[in-house]
Amino acid sequence: MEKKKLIPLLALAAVLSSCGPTGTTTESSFDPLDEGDLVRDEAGNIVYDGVELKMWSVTTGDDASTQDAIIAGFNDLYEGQIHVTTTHTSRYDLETLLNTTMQFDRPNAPDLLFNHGSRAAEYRERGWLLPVENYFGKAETPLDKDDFVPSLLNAVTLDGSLYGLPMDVHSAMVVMRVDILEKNGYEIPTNYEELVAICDDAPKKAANNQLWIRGENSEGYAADEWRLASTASPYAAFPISYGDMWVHEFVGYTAAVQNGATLVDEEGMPAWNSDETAKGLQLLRDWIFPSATSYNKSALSLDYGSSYDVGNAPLLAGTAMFKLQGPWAYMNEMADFDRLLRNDGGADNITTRSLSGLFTRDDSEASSLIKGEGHAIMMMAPEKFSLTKACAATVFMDYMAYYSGIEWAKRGHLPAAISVSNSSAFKADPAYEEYIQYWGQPEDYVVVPPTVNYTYIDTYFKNALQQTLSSSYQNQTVKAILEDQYEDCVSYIELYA
Amino acid sequence: MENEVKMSPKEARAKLAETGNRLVDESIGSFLSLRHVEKVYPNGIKAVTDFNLEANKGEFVALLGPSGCGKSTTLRMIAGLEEISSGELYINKTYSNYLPSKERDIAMVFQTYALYPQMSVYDNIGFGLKMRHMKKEEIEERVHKAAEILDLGHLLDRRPKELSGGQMQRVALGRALVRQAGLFLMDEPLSNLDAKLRVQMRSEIIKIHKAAGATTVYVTHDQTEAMTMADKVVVMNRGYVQQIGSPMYVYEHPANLFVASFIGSPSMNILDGVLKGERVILEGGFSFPIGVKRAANYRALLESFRKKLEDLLKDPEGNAKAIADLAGSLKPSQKQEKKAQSFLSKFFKKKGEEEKEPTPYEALSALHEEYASLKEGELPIKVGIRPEDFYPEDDFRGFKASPVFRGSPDLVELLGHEFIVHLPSFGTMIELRITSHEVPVSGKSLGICFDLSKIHLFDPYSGMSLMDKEKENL
Amino acid sequence: MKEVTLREFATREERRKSSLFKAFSVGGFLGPYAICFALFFVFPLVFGVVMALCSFDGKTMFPSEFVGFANFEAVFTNPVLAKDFWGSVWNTLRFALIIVPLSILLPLGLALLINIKPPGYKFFRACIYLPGIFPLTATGLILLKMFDYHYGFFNAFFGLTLDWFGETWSAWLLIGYFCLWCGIGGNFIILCAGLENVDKSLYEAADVDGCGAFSRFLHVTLPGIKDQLFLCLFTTFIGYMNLYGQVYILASNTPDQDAMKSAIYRIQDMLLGSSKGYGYAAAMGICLGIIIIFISVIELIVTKERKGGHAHEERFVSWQKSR
Repeated sequence: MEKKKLIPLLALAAVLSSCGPTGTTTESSFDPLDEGDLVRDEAGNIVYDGVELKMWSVTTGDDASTQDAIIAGFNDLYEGQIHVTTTHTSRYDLETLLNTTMQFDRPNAPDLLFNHGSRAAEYRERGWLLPVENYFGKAETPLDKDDFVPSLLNAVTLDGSLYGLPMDVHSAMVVMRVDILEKNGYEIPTNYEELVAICDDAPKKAANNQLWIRGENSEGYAADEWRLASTASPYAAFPISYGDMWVHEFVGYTAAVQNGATLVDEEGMPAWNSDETAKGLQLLRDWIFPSATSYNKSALSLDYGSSYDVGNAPLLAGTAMFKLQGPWAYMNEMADFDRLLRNDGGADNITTRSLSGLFTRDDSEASSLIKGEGHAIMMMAPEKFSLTKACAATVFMDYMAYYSGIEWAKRGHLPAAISVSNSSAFKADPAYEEYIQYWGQPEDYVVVPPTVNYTYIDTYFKNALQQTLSSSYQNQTVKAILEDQYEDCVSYIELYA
Repeated sequence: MENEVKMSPKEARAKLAETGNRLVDESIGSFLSLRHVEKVYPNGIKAVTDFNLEANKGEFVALLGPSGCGKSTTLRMIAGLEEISSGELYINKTYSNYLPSKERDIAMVFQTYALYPQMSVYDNIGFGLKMRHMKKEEIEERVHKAAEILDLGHLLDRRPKELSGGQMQRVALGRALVRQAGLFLMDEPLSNLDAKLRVQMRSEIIKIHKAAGATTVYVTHDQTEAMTMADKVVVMNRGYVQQIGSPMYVYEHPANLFVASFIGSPSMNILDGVLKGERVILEGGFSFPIGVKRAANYRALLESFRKKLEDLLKDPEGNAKAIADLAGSLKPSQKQEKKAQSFLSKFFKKKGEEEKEPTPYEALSALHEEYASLKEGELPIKVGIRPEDFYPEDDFRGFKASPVFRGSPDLVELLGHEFIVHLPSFGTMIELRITSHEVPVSGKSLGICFDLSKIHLFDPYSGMSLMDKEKENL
Repeated sequence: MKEVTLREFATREERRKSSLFKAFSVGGFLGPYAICFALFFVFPLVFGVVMALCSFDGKTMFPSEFVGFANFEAVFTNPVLAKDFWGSVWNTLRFALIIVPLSILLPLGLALLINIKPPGYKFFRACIYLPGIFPLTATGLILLKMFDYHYGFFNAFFGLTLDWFGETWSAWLLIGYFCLWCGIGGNFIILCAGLENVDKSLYEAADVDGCGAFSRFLHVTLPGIKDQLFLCLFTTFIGYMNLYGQVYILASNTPDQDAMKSAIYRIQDMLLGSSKGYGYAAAMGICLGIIIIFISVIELIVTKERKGGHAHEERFVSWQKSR
């Protein structure tokens, strides 16, 4: 009896609650002559008085602390005028949080969003973003689009309009054991051929009991004692695995684009089912499973299967000369080696390089490309639009793009604004000299072009990558694997068309 | 006594193999023999003390006693469900202390029937035979025969949960019957049934007992069952055997106060008194003669018991077990008390009371003191008179009338042809069974006398009956 | 106004008040539960069916476009959807067929051992139940680390070179082990309780009837815990058809995802991306539910109690006549 009465009641409640606020500001509503709630002084400049901006940021941990420090600088500079409060949420939670808030709790939605630029297309499709260019003009904040890395700017440009300001870009990078390379007479490799030369020669030397390595290991060797590499197991100088985040987030894509592949076509559909991608993935497959037809004769990496962070232990123990790492961790690497090899050069025993040129034999414009991921600050369409807030936001975005500078770069995030990385202040910092300079030019970085189908394109490419590098799929050609995954990807995208 | 001949272990093993690795004692005449069987639990509690029983083939033995007297434990020891702490058990002349249950040639009927719930009645009855790998045809034959005897034919397909209590009990009996075992063991099988059904089932059980010709050991707390069904009654209290005998014998010659008050309903009236010369003087001054001979016998009884105590106490270590057994058997021989102590009073026992448990030696020493200090002139005595041995003064039908005494009934219960009269007299409440044309009225004074030839005299300290001892000495 | 006598009025009033009071007490006791039940069970069930019949992408509060059985059609005919979903259902079914018997027999064995009540049995009982209360993700991560291909403790200790999470058979093996490790506690407790409730005198009757240990188990113990066993069978099967957490944590990195994903995993996959396929997911969920119901009904029929019939009675009558 009770339940029969309750269902219609609940239905009524549901109907009533769905009649919530749905109106949002869209691009078509911008009027350049509209002053909105702006307050101007006698000189005609906009007066910001106690403007509160709320930003949600996808950075967590140490990145979050650094970002908070940078934003504090802005708040100090604009004390009393503009104040920005930041909440940090990991990217897994952020999506759900955004979803529920933008749909059902609009009043509590943030004004700004610091997130990966690749998300912009999907957000805009749901009507959550405001185009920013107009507000830069209104606030008279300078905006030089040519100063930004083209790929990053492109990622937030949808239908010709700019939907956010790119902030930075990062990718994986390579850590190298300078001491071992030097001891064995190798030069630091600058491209794939040189890398393979070293990695083919080292196992030969090791088999002949001639390869010198050092590092703490389980047999009791200290970090600074030189020893000969064991002849028992083959020496694989550069460990990678499909379980590694560096590989499936960055290296896989990088190998594809360095060989000339495009990831997404103009309609936003996947374009990675190409010979170029196959070439890049084949190169990675040969990395672990060399064959008679591969360029490298020895394996550059053992088959680590689904393990992750596979390079850490070998590099420390000396059984590898190269490893992949996230740039933000480089400072920890330096600290580790400072401690381990305190008496023999410390952090000078390692160096870092970008992924540029390391995954292709081609020598073209594309071979220096690095696939990364970039952040951008986007403006969220609020329930109640405030022109003052929008203009204040542009001031903040401009500050973040140009004044995060070196501190943010030390966390591995290279600035999206090219002039920043060329400035003397940037280059004067010792960190630049030590390592940041090796991470390449910002213009070398590319991100996935904007598309609403990003999730499927990304998931299925990663599936293909994983299967390519797995030992259980050796009997399938790279092209066949790519074809398989491509078909599924396109089918799913078409389901929702 | 060839079992007592000494030989080498090898010879012993060979000899044993001859009788199928069972120790057989041909000298035992009875079918079931328990000798000095005792049961002590791991926590030290003695459930059964010095149990002796010889049951012949075809005999119906009832183990009778109040709850907690050790009768079920004894039955389970015979069945092999409990370990025998000491003593010997012989089933059909074979030493069976350590034989597993299934090899003892027994069939058991449980109080809760213990029918397998997922099997039909047919399967339940035939299960034991199936486990012994009997042929299907033979199982069917036996089950059908049992079903005929017990009128279970129309129930053979049913499950236990579709049967009534009486039907379930018949199935349990059937299960025991088909085994054609030599020994039937029944553990209060009728206590779960209502009164009318019980009467019916009693006759069923006797029928089966006769049909099978097996020796039956039957445990019950209901004296009616024991009295009507058994050839031999074993009365137990608190682990001690009080008396063994035929129902009639136990009724007419109870061995001690416990048996006297346990058997018979309403129970025998026990009156306190003193023996002066040849007269017994009850409370309130009423006295009657018991004869010179009898009085002398009583004095001799007391003296012999005192002597027995003295002898035992002379050698405490040597007679330790006898002392302990005797001390332990004193309380159980007394009249069964109604639950005097309330539940809560257990919690409020004063601290000192717990420590007052005397050792057997101390107990017997104190008792010896009592006996030794008895004055010749006044000897304490207990008189037992059954309710049916009372008669109205004008309607005496016994052998030898006692002096008349008067009393006013507190309560008169009408049972149709007779009355149970509750009369406060002699310092206690006595119950009389009167068949009289005149209805006794409560409050109206009544003249009563009793049959002097039917009284029982008991030693208050040991609880022993004088009559029983007299019979022994005859 | 119609006139009433005092008697009529009083009796009517009292009856009304009494039924009102009864209704309030019923409402007061049932109310909270009824609300929760309606909110968290009835509403999602109804909403799920509605979602399955509409095209809903999660961008609005409620679905608006009714498409009839188009979603179901897609689940059965769309090549990639059908391949992925039914493949995962088949994976899940095969896994359930192996793990459900294990999930019942293992706890049964343990319960029988604990029933003997050896010294320290309370401690063992607690230990058997303990794994179930740990969070799935934490223990899953430990398992990932322990069976890591190159750095895992297990491979190092036994000197193996097996990529546990790279091969499908070993990944399923570990998923099965993980499920058993954290799942047997529940069934174990139920079977322990069942064993305690078996009438002790039945064991004694079996002893007297001549049963050995195995016969006793077969004829007394098993039938005695029949109810609990059936309960375990039903709930365990339904639970494992809904397998998700363990697969997600352990097998997300296995290359052959088509062989690893369970049914719920595929349904979850429908909700990736910005355009979420709630319609397809709901349709898949309903299909899965129907399959589970179907198999449960089969289980119900097979385990039903059967009436005795009249075979024995007839044979008895004919035996009587033949004498």
